[in-house]
Amino acid sequence: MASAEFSPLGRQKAPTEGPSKPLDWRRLAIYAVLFAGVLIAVGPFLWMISASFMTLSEVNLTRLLPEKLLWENYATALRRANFLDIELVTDPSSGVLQSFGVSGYIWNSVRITLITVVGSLLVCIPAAYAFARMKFIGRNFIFALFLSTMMIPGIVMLIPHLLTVIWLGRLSESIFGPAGAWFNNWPALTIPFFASVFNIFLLRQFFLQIPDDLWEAARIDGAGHPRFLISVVLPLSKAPIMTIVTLGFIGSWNALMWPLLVTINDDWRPIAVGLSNFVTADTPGDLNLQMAASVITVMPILVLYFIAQKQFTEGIAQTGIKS
Amino acid sequence: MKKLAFIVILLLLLGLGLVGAQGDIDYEGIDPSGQTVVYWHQYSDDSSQANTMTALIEDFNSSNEYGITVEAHHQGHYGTIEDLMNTAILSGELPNLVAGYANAVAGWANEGVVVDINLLLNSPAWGIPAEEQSNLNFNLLNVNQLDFAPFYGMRVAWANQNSLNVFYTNLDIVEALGFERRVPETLAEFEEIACAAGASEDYQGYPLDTGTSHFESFVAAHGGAIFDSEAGEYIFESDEVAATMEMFTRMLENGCAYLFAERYQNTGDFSIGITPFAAGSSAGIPFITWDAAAAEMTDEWVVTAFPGAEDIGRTIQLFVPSQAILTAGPETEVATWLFVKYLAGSEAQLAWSGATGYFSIRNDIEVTEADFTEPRMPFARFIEVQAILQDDMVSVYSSPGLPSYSAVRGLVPNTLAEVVNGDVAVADALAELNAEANELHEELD
Amino acid sequence: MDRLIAANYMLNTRRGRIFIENLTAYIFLAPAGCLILLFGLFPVAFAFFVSLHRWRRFPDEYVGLANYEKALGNLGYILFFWLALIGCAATLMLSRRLLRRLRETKLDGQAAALLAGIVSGYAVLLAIDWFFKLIPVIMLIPRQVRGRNTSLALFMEKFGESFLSPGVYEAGSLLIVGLLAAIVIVSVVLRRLGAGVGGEVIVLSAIVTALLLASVFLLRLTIHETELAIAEARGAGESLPIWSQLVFISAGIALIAGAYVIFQRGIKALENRRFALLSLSGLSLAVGGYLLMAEAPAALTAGDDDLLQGFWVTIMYASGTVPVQLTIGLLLAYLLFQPIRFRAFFRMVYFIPYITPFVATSIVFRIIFDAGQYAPANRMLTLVGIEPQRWILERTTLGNLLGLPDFLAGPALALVVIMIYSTWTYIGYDAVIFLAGLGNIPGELYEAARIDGASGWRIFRHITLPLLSPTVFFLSLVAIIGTFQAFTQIWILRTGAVGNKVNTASVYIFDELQNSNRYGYASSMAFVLFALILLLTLFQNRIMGRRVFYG
Repeated sequence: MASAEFSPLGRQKAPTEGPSKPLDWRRLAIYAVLFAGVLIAVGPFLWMISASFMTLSEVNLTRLLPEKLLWENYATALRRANFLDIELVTDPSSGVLQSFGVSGYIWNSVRITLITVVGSLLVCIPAAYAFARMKFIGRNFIFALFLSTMMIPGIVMLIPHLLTVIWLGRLSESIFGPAGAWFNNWPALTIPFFASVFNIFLLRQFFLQIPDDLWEAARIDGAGHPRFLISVVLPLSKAPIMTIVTLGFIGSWNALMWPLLVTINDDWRPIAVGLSNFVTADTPGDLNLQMAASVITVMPILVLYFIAQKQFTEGIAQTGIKS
Repeated sequence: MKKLAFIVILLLLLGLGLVGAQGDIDYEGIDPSGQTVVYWHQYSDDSSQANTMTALIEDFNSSNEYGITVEAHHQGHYGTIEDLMNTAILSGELPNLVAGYANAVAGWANEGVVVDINLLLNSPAWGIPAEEQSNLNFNLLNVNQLDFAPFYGMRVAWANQNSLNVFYTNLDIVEALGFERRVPETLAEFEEIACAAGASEDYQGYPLDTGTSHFESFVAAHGGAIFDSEAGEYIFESDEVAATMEMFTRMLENGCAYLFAERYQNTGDFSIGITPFAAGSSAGIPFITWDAAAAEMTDEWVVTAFPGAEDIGRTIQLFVPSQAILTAGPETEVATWLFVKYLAGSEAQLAWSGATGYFSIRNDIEVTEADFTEPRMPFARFIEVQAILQDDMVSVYSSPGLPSYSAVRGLVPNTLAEVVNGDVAVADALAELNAEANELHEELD
Repeated sequence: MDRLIAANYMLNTRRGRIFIENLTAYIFLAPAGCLILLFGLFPVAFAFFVSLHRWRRFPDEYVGLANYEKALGNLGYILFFWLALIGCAATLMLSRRLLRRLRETKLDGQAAALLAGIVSGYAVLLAIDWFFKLIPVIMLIPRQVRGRNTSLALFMEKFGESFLSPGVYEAGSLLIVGLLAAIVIVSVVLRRLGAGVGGEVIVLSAIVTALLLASVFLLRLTIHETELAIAEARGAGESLPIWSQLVFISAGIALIAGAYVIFQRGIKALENRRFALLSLSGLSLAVGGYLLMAEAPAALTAGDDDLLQGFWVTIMYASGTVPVQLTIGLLLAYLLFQPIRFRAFFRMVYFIPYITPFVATSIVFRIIFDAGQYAPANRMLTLVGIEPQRWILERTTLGNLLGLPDFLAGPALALVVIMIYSTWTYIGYDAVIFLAGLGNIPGELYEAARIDGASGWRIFRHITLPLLSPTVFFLSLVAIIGTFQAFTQIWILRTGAVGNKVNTASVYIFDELQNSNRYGYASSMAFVLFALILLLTLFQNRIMGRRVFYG
């Protein structure tokens, strides 16, 4: 009887209020609270954007809006903070592009992020699949061991990680030459983050929900685990993968302490460190420039989030259900 | 325990090896040609320091006869450099020249990675001849000369960026508050005026910095110090330190002083004319001038040494960020030294001092108005500050160049905060601080 | 041909399939496993090793539990006793499980499997021993080659030499023998018994062996160290009541735990028994509490005040942010779950603070909560007629500002600002997960309740909340672990003026690392923090886990 009132997707849908509507004030209140929440959540960002266009004294007086939009703040911040530097070398006679060089913190962060995300997917997907859909000796023990590492405070790991990276780097340098160095190079900034227990956990949750019938069918077709993983499981897992990509992006874009320790020049130094250096320098940039630099830092991540947010929030939501 | 014995033996062997290695250094007959010198500094991009340093490095790279190349990297502020040095020491991948204060460098020297500059300075082949050395200002340079155990006369670094912690006074405000139009002579006068400012409608009291350097400046103004180098211990329980604490507490309680959050907010408030006094590095003068102009603050302000307690006279604290040469093999060490020596030359010093407003380590040059190019600082100010340094009546203080000082620095603000907030009595807080500081001294130095 | 037959055999027998499945699984796990071993588990063992030494950038002498004593006073020793006892208890439990397995399966050659396990467990310990002998030698290499050209070749040469250095070489040889023996026996046994049961017996007995030896080692170390400390104190003419403290504090904790168990029984029991059990529980709680109150402070007196303050700040920080964050998150999720428009928009926007870097957002918060009278927070206060506050500069506690008595002091106002910042960051995350949790509650239940005439609040209380409890459990677990590890948000927003009033344990430990480079001491404190987090997680699992309603 009741089911007629629910859409086929009833589980995802909220209960409806029914035909009676004397409670309009109530919905109004709900909207009011929700909009207040919006204001609190994004207010600081809006002001950050607004302040990035102000003069210094306007920022100091915490005006709400600038009198005039000072776009040059962005140009100054970009230059002073060494965020992005694109070098185009063209042949003076023909005007043909000869070389093209990109450098700066944004470019570094993009590279680091890409490597981390791809590496993380390559490492975590098989592991999560094994935990979710295979039987092997010590499965629960190993999984518990993995999970327990999430509880270790980062501070315990700082020095051991540093030493590990230094020595692994030495070994790889003696094998691969200078390009194989870990320290002050991409491996130190990315490889330690490949095996994210959180990602494995999240993927496992999702893989567990894939119906067994699919596996039975695949096995009858003669597919083994690797093929089943690639041709059936992965195409079904867009949401969690999108979540991992976005989380990985956020993680490496925002990383501060670790990159601070393992980079000694700007070759691979990521953007959060760049921003932090800009803000805490002995002669720090003015507040309005700091705001502009912050906006530049935040923008790429917001853009990615807006693109991926649907799958992302759904994927994140998966983590909370059934632990 | 076997493990214990093993590690002890290993350390002993290593220690012997180190001692042996250090005695061996001989810079004569070394060829520094073609070396690359990696230099870590803290000059933020686009600042006059960075630009001048870049120009000097370019000049050195193109003009030195050995084909030495200096490669400079901006590594954030001193704190970041100290973090990076920790990593670098652990990995052994050190730069060749690095910026740091004496205490930080002393910590690195403890690990054996710092070159004793005396060996290079007095080297017949590479050093600076004695008659030439007489032109150098050893008052500044000797801040890095560590005459105590375990360094025994090692010159761990070379001063290059000398400034003073100075005392700023806004004469117009002092007058407006009904006092004589001059800089306060004594701490008592200073406190009285600050209280009057705090009580007035238009002005605020004294912006009290909770940093350790600022605290030390006032301890020095009371005629004391935080470290007794003869007894070899921290003396936070001394009367002068206690008097400083009490003064700070009293001023905050009576509304004569206030705390602030943003860095440089004290000189910032001073530059917009809302407080009669401020204290800060003389390197901050350009910013005050700049901010005052931006805020259209036209009051007359002066830069002096700190007023002292009764019978103490004026005092000043030296800030001497320096450059340390790190171990890298004699060829590179000599090459690094040649760059340092180049920076110590008259021309380079004139350019450096003129463009940045830092004091020269040479006695024999005089920065004239024509040499002075720091755009945001009037030349007159530079002369004003230099006069303080050259004034024989002003006593000079500098922080202890001890490895433990880096850690002790971190303790002082907390004690200060506890005391001024009234959480603990001054004597108890200082006794605890002193115990902790001396424990660190014992463990780290 | 042979290979084909072998392959067929592999695929077609049950044993073969199990073998292939195991092999594939391990291959799938290998990359993640290696990395987690390297960057997750090894660092813990290593940090533990460091914490037993004086270690300032480079390894120095072995000091036993001195660092723990420095951090926690006598409680440091007591903690190690507990750790050793927990190890023994775990060994006991696992051996019982092992025995049960053995009895159940009744396989032939059980003794061989057992032996294989014991040998492999011992080999693991040999590996650890070898590793920790090797590590200090390697760590010191940068020190040896400094001053000369720090070329890679020299480093690698020294690296090679370090394997042959005295002590390391012997341990290494022993390890190789042990490993070979283990490999031989294990492969023979696996061949005989098959991967399934044989494997399990081997793994279990290996773990039991390693755990047993480790616990015994730990126990001996602790007893030895304690006796040393007591002897030293006696030499100085003082007495060090570690043993009595151990007994009293352990008894206190046992009594409190017992009180909880009895209480659980009591509320389910019948009238008379119920009264008896409840009063017994109360008594047990009172005595246990008294013992703890009487002994714990004494055991802690020699500890590091700043660390204890750090723990206290951490606890305030956690209890101030977690409930608030969860409540507001749930409220927002509940409102979002109502039939409203723009749900996707709201959800998207609420999540934004979670994804943006602390470095960027903290600048804005510093401005909002500046001490100046024009700072936004102060302007708002002025609007409602309250004195402007000093916010991030304010050391005075919230309680004192509100005029409450001292025992209600609470966190410093500066810490409150950091809590607000942290809450702001995480609410969106909580709300999104709550929203998903709400979506999973079958709509029929609401309908049924409504037909029964239940009101909105009653529905929420009796249907939504119980069915949401797994989500609440998950989120609070994540949040508590998160707050105990919280670092960046505090490190970035703290000011000199508030001193250690906002330093959580993590921040204090980091300061110790950064300012005085006492790695050994910092590691020992980090370990204490780790132990505390583990304890809390277990505690929460037991207490809250019981109340979770898995529908």
